[in-house]
Amino acid sequence: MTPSSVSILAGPAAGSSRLPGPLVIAAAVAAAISVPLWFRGDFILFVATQAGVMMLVAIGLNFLTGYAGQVSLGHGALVGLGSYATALLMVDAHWSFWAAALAGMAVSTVAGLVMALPALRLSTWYFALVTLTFAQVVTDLLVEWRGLTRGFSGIVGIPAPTIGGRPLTPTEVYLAVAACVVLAFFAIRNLTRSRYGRGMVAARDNPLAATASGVSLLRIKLFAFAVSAALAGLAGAFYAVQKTVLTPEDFSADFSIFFLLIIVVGGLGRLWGPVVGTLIFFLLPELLGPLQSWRLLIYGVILLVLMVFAPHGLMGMAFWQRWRPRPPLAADAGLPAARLIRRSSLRVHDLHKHFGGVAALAGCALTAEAATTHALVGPNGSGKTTTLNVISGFIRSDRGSVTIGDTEVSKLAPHAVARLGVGRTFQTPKLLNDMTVLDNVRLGGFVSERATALEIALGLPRGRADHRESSAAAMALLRFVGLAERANDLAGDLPHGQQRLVEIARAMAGGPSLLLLDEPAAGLSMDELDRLGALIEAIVALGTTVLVVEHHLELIARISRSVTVLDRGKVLAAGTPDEVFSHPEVERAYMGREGSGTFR
Amino acid sequence: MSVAAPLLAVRDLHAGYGRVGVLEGVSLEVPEGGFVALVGSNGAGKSTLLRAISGLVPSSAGQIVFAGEAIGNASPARIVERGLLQVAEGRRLFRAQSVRDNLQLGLWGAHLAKADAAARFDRVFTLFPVLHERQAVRAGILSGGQQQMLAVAQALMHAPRLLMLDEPSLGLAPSVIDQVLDAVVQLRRDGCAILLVEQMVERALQIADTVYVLQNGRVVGHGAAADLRGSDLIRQAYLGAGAKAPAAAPSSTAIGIPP
Repeated sequence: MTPSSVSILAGPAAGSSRLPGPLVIAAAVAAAISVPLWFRGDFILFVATQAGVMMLVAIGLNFLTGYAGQVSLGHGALVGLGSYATALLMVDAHWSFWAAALAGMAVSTVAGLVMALPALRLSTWYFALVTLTFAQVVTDLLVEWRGLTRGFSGIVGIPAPTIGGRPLTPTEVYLAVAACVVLAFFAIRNLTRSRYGRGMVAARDNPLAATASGVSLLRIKLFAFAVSAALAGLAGAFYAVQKTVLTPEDFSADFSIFFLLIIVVGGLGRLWGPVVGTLIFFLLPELLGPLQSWRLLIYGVILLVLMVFAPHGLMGMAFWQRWRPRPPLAADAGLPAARLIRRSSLRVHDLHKHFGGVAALAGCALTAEAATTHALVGPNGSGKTTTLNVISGFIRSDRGSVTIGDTEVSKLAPHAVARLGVGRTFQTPKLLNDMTVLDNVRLGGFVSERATALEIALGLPRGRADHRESSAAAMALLRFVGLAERANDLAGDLPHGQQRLVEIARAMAGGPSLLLLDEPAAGLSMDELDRLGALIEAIVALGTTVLVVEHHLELIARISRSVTVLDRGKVLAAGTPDEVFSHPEVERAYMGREGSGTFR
Repeated sequence: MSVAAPLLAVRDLHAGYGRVGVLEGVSLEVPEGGFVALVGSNGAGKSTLLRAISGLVPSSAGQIVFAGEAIGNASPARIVERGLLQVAEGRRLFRAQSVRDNLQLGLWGAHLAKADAAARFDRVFTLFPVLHERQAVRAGILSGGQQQMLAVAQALMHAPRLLMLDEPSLGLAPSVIDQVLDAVVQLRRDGCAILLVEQMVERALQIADTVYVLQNGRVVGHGAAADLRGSDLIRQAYLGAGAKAPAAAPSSTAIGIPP
């Protein structure tokens, strides 16, 4: 079944250090949290609590900016909204802190979504500008809406949180903040290692690959925004009770930019980045009390030094790569791809598509029976790739229909088509070069994982099961294509031919009914060609229908049940490989020889 | 071939990406006006070797001498100036520019008279009529195969002393592949030396004089193409161990292309 016999498990690459065990890490974190309690006086505790609040915001912003790639300059305003909502509900409506904090999170989340919805249609930098404006508007509102916010004089006398009627001491508030930071850290860690994290990184680095794997770009970005805004709201609630006085000046644009600084210096898209960034950029200057007036200068020097020596932030330095998690290449439980593949035929009828003045498709039609291989061939520019793009929803046709099984898909968005069970590869492999091969394949399982974001964030059984199963499934697929031993390597380090195989494994991870392959044999050596042929036959044996665009006629003749030849967007011939390749028109238009009767 | 110094001599070259070594001591020679094919399975280091020669990948050890000058540390621009050009794998074009402008850029530094330049245009347009048809179109909206034609055509515009081609047949229809390889043969007749990386190994062996077989970043053998056709060396290193002998390919004598 497996096209390659190479499946020797490689151990972790030499030179990578073992991660310290979870107990060691827990002890170290507990020790770090206890440090401020050793000191007398409230100052250290006050600063440490504030650092915790900052960390919460930074962790959320790193999720949005570092992983989902959306630069927000409005996070200070979201903190402000959460703060004000909590404080007003406590002072004016006499709510308990805990209820008010939840309401504050809700307000920030809604405000964040309102800010994000129109802005996500814009490019990164316009989005950043819109969020900056949003921050400015919020600050102005806090000043001008005096009836509610009391303008410049702000809100005073915010009570401490209570439990059972007893107000919490500053130490207890500090511990509550610390607990929230630890929880948020773990929630974000779990999310970034789940299909959500992979979907976000894919949407950031390679939107085409994300969409082809069933990720809705808009939805995943909104999700990142909602999580990030909720954390900002939570931080805002603690901010209010910790400071006991709120004024609009607390939430200026500088405040927003400060968080961006923290996560960039800490390391964008690194789990520990916001933690380290806050310690260095918030705690250190606060503790250097006597040097207050030098603060900006110190900031500037640190920034310049980091720019040169750690362009990817402190946690982005190569040093930390030694601790890059290398999951053991676990034994897999058979081929999970075989579990639930629905057998569906593909019917394409009378497709038309114009680009400007050029008719790319002018009545393209083809039929592929369920669980067979159908080949689409034709001269360069005859509309083969356009046909694949129409079937997978990346291009909307002017006219015609595409039916998979009984479902008409020609009006669906590409991620919706992927969700229906259509996997595809691209002419030039579109992998996420900075992700491991294993995670690239797991991205393809985006549509088949079932745990909700909440289950994943809290590490509930179903989330953990998904994590385990998707790893095992991806390993099985990598073994299926003969690349098991490269699972922990970065996809960008693989040679071209292997990248193609990884892309096929990714497309198979969703258990597709229909697999579209765009020139899978291009650039493969002859032994790899043999393996590709065997691989496609094995995929068909699983029940998947394969539509392959390919120039390698020998391969097509060997693996395909039926062939359609396109020329200038029209069907030139269709039938079995033998019928089609001996067709005189095809020999003339495509193979460029006159009736030789043979094909390579 | 000749006793004279070769046009390109690579000696014991080591190169790679970051800490990953790809080339581990490659030596190779291309004589003036010669046609050398480089074969080997994916990941053997063929593309890396071309990129190292072009100065796109830094070499960690070894020597590259082109036309009597050590170019191991020279900038890519300097290397191109000396007359050593490469067509990159993967259709690297100026996507926002028209087809014609892309071809015009292929003439950069060739210092041709107007009439000669026009002749070059005629040549590639005869070879690829579709590019003539679509010369005003932006390169980015051509089909994948047409982009590959344009990338090859761009290289053919220039007549360097040595042209390196990385899988020119990639993604092309069979009829077009014949034309492209014929054009490469013609270019060589005009005096340009060729270093060709090609997966269609039988075709490459038909048109090259000398073949080098690369495996795991090392040259495992080389010799005259005619001697190596069907040899065990090629079969094992390239087709994979245990592969059956390929059917004898139809002998296609290179047909000269219209002037």
